[in-house]
Amino acid sequence: MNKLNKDLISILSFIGLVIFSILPIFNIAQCESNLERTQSAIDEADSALGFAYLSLLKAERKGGDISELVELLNTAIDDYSEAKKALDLGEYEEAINLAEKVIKTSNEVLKTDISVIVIAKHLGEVEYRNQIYLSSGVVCFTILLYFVGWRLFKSYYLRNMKVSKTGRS
Amino acid sequence: MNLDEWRLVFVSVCIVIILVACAPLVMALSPRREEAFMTLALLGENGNADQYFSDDDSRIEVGEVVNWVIYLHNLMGEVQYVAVRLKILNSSMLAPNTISYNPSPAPIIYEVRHVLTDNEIWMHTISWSIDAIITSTHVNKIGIELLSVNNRTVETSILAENGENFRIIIELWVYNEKLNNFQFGWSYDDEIYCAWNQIWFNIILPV
Repeated sequence: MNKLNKDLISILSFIGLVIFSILPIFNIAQCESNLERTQSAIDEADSALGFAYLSLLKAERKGGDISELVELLNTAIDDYSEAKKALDLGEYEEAINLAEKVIKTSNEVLKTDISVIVIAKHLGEVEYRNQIYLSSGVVCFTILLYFVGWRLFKSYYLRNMKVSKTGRS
Repeated sequence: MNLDEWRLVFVSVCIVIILVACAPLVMALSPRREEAFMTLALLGENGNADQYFSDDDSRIEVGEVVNWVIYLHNLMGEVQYVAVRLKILNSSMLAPNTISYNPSPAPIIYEVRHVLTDNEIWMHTISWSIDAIITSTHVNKIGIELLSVNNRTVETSILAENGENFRIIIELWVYNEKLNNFQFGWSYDDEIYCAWNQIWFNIILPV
């Protein structure tokens, strides 16, 4: 019985020692995994910011008003900067949370850009159409004014010429 | 004036009215192109091109805080996503090359990004200090070991003879839509332009 107890204790001690030895390896692996995960989230946030900017650019080129969206994107950029700072300090959870916030804000900008483009396109088309109508109207009126106005002026001019000739004679 | 002369006047007035009416339409179809560019400057703590250092002395002590302002003006005609990158160099390290449009190969110690609308002026304050130096009496070189910029500490290993002729460089990087990434400088009309600035300083050895 004593020998059995001794063997059991030896085995349990050995198992404990093995577990104790490999525990730091797991910790290191966990840390590296956290770092990779955080870096990956920050890289994704970086890409999201780029896409959001390109979408803003497209909306502006279509004539959209992007001033509010620029402010929103700049807040996302500030969050991105804080996320990188948190990563440098080893605050992985905070960095991931901030990176996710950046992605969410960038997606908001993307969605809003689409509606801004649609509205801008519509307004642009309306304005363009109005400009064509106005210019065409003025041109037609001017041509009409020339023919009608000239006829009226010509008859008035000739009448005046006749009166002054009659007056002289 | 005779009738023919009056007719000429009528025709001229009508032509002028037609041209004036069509001008907005022509301008809308062919917008005027202006040269597009960005301006980058590094200003003193009051936002002017002076007082870069206290008492205008470019010799700074360890722990002394220096405040500068990065000034940026977007005249590209549309919104721009920019990154301003700070680097620290000595006199022998390569600065940005404005002929080959290559940035300095020195590592980035600080980066700030911003989206600027057309014609927007943006100013960003940076507060930096040297937190730790390394000295080597053998070769008379002093190196910057730790540098803080806006409360972010960075390790560096830049050495300079007698602690003289260090420089901080700022480079302007602009997001390129074709590359989907930042590039040093910007493209306009198939040409590349770049902007960067530098300020030299020396370190006062601690007594």
